[in-house]
Amino acid sequence: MKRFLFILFIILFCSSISKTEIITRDDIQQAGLLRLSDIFLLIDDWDYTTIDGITYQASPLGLNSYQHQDWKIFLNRIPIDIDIFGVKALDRIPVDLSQISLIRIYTEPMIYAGQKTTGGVINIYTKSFKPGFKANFRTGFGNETGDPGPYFYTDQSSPNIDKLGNIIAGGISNYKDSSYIGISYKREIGYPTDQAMFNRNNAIAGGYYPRQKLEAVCLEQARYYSDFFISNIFGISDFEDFYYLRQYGGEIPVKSRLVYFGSTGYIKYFYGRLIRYRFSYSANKPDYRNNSLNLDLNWKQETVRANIEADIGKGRATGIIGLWLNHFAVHSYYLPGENHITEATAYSALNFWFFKNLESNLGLIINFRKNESGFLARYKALYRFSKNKLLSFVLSYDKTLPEESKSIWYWQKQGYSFLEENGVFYNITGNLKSSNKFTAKVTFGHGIPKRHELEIYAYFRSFSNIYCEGQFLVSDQYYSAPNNLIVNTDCSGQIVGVAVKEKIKLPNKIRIDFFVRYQQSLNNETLFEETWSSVPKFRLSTTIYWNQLENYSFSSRIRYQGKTKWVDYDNTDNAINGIHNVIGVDPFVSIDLTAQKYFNNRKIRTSFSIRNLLNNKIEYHPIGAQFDLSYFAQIEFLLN
Amino acid sequence: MQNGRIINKSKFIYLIILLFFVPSVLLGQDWVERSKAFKTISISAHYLQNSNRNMFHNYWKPANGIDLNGESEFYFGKIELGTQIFSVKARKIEQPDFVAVNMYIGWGLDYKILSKLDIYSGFQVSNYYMNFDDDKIDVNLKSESEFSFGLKTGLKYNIGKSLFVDVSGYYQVIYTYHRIELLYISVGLGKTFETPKWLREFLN
Repeated sequence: MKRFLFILFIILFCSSISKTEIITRDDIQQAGLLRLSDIFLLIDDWDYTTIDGITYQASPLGLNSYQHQDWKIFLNRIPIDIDIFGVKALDRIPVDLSQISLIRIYTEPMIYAGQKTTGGVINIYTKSFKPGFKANFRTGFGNETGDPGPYFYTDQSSPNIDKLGNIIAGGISNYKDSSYIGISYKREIGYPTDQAMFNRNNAIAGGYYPRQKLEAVCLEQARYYSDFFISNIFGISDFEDFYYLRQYGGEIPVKSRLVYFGSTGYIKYFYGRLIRYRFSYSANKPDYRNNSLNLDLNWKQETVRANIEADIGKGRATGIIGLWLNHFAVHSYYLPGENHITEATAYSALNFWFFKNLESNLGLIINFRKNESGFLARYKALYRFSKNKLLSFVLSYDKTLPEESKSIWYWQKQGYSFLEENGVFYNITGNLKSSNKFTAKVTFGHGIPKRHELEIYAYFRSFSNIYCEGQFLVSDQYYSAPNNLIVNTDCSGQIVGVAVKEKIKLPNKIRIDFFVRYQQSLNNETLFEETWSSVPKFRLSTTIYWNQLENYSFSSRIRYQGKTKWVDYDNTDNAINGIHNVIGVDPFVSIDLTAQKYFNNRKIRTSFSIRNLLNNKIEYHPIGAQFDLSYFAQIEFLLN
Repeated sequence: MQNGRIINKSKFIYLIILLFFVPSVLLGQDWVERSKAFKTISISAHYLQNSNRNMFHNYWKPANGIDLNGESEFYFGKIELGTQIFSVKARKIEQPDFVAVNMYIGWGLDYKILSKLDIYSGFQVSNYYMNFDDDKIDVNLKSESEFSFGLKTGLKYNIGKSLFVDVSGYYQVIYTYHRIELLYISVGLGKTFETPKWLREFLN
């Protein structure tokens, strides 16, 4: 019993200090987040960028936000595939913010729910199994300042700034007699508020007013039995958007539908050990949306994944062993050749405690496709050298098959024909082959439960034979168009970084989160160096949550980001006064504030947020979209 | 414009201090009076007279308006909610008249300086809605909303137990591309009463 409690303590302690970042429902509400994609505003050690403040491209632990969107998304630890052309628009997940109980963020390469995750993980937990009937409805809007106002009708006129958008969402659920059922709906409208972005979208919109529109519905069911558990989730989302398609060098109007089904469960088989299954089906169907580029994106991407996993081991050595079958298919007339791939992966992860203060975790995952195979091997050691201090060390080595990045598979194997038909000429150097990634991370952690957590980590990442793209662009008055795409399949380089992360809980329910990071690339090839220059070397953020009074909360977030560069525009032959094609983004400081208040015995929740309080120039690659001081308001009605 | 931005930044630094840090430090102390919040409510009506002149007034005449205000004691200081309505007339036919509705929430402190006289200072954040009165205007441009920030200070004279009159100065910045800065003189009459139990429970 003592040994069990000791192991449990170690696991809980380690989880709290170094493995994962957690965003709770309270964090989401206190920060005044409106959309699911807003969670990037709260994730410290991921870099992100956006063209419209709605769709983000992101990357963890120093990876590039543009070249490889390799992070994976899970709903209740079941994979959900929402990637279209390398863009992961989180809002397309058919779950509203108000249905989320917890989000776990992982940055290190690891085996997560049996999947190989070199580029980070976002896992969203939707259900909270509190007995009884629950219902909620929320609505909110965002508005960016800088409108012309009445001056529109004078000689002092300036361009109109649209609303950032609005949202309506709600859901009902019931948990009774070990059975859960819930249904939710969300509808979001968004507009490009940045003038450059509006001009670009308007120039290709084909006559309609440029906007994003999302509608999604989700149905969940779960049931506990004495020795087994089963949970299913089904959702559909429709999204009209302007995706930034990097290979195309600009946005493309896309209408897309996501159909998703996920299922998981377990059965107890031996002394409480579990056998689990996971199944997911994701169908992404980009479709034609009126546009003046004459692009017809009639694609359908299907991903089917099935998994069986069992707990193994006993005492000081426990773990899991499992198998995944992953099937990817694309249906489009642009793909005359092979239109599907099937991959099998076998994995095992073991935790062992052979010494009192040393926990080790060893993971191996091997994936096969025809005659090819890739793998990820990972070792993590965690040494607790006093009651409150830890040292952990992670080593991982990843051999990645080209097919594992589906966006590369589409483009490399057949998809470039789509670009060529639309005037993009490409030149591929070398043959697409397996890439290798090595990561070493060492972390010092100090923690006093419920009071203080400190994490200092340093990392080194080495990449070889990865796929990098460079572009030459041409521009007209409003839009940059691709001309020539250079693809280097032998891109290699290294990055090294150091970061400090601290959470301090003060009396009177004040919590301060602090993060600072510096990253540098080392002796790299030109293309690697250039593409990584879009990732900021220096970032710093501080978030303060104040929650002393029961039905009030205040939060403040201060963020500094160092300068970055979007190298593709170096090659642009006709940049438009730096307005629409921004080569360099200057350092910036942003301050966000949120106040939240509950009314009527916590049956009504209201929040008001201000982002970019100083109205600083905050720009994002690759368009150079700027977001001025903005304010957000929302109200939620809760029935518990 | 650059100078304007710099001035706005310094104002915003004060705003941060006001909005977050000072309240959190003050409210973090044990002397926050939890039992006081929403104990009484004051409802008042004010007449507002625009008294400054700047670029905005080259196109529109100074506007007068009314302010309907509800105010209550808070854990620290007072919190207020209200709506101001202005009818703004253009000087030339090229510009439309418009109706502005400013819905605000604010916080402030008052101090008793004489037995019946209080001094009040606070800030407001609001949504400044404009509806332009011209049939030729595109329907999508006929109305517009913008963020606004205001500072207020004034004197309140209590007549008897519940009635009061007040006079105050109100400075407002509307965050259009060219900021609109307006200064108002306000006079008003109000009544204070104990918050009904159901309303106090709702607000708490």
